[in-house]
Amino acid sequence: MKINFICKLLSVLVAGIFIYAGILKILDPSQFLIDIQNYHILPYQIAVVLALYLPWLEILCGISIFIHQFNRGALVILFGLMIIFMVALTSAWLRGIDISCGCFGKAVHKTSFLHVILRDAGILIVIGILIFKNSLKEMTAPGIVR
Amino acid sequence: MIFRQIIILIVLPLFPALITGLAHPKRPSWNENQLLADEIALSSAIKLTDRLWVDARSASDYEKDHIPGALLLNEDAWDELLAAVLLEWSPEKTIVVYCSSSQCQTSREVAKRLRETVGIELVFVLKGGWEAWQDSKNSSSEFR
Repeated sequence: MKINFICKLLSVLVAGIFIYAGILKILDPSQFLIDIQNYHILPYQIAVVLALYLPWLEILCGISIFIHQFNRGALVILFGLMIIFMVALTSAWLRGIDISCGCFGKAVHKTSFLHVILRDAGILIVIGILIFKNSLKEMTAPGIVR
Repeated sequence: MIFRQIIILIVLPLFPALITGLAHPKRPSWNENQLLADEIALSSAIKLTDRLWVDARSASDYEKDHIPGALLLNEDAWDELLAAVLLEWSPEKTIVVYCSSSQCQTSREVAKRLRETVGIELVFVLKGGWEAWQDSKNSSSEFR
């Protein structure tokens, strides 16, 4: 019962983070494009597509966490996104690129690598816990014979 | 089941993304070289007769090298540095602000602050910043 409550709380937290981040980016896609370009990984045109697409994916997945039929899919996508963000961030850091991570649009300007990577790792762990909890629930759900 | 969810969630955002790309007032341009409203290309900036370069990078970068005649102005020591800029500036002069490259934001922030708090209207951001200047300097000596 207590674990269920904590998981609900974590779901709200994760959903809130991604909806907030998505809305901030969608308010100024040109700024988000600059943030993506800061990583020096993608060609310009692909960066433009991502700047337009990624915020909506984050918002939709954030909302879908609360929709039973899409809950697991949304968490798996967000888990994948976090891994991609962390790989991109680490790659930029290893190349000595001083970046504004672009994680929260214009809300965060100065970026400390350690701070961002720890925050992202925290979010990744929480999403992992939620996926695990959901899988467990699915396996033990009545009607599923193993 | 989960794959169906993932596919639906990946496909659905394409529609609002398309609308954003077509109708958002701050949508990015598909052409990398297209200038924004507050930007000026280096080729146009060097043709300006009354022009004041403003370097919005850090003091250490400025000390290493800068565009000849450029004055340092950044958020770190705004008040002290602004005095020197205003001393050089006159209403007919166009201020061209630059930072490290097209990805940095400090030149845009400095230009915005000059426009909004100081009230200077003729302020532009140099497209490509210091990187563009260096590239041009390397390929030609006409900017010296």
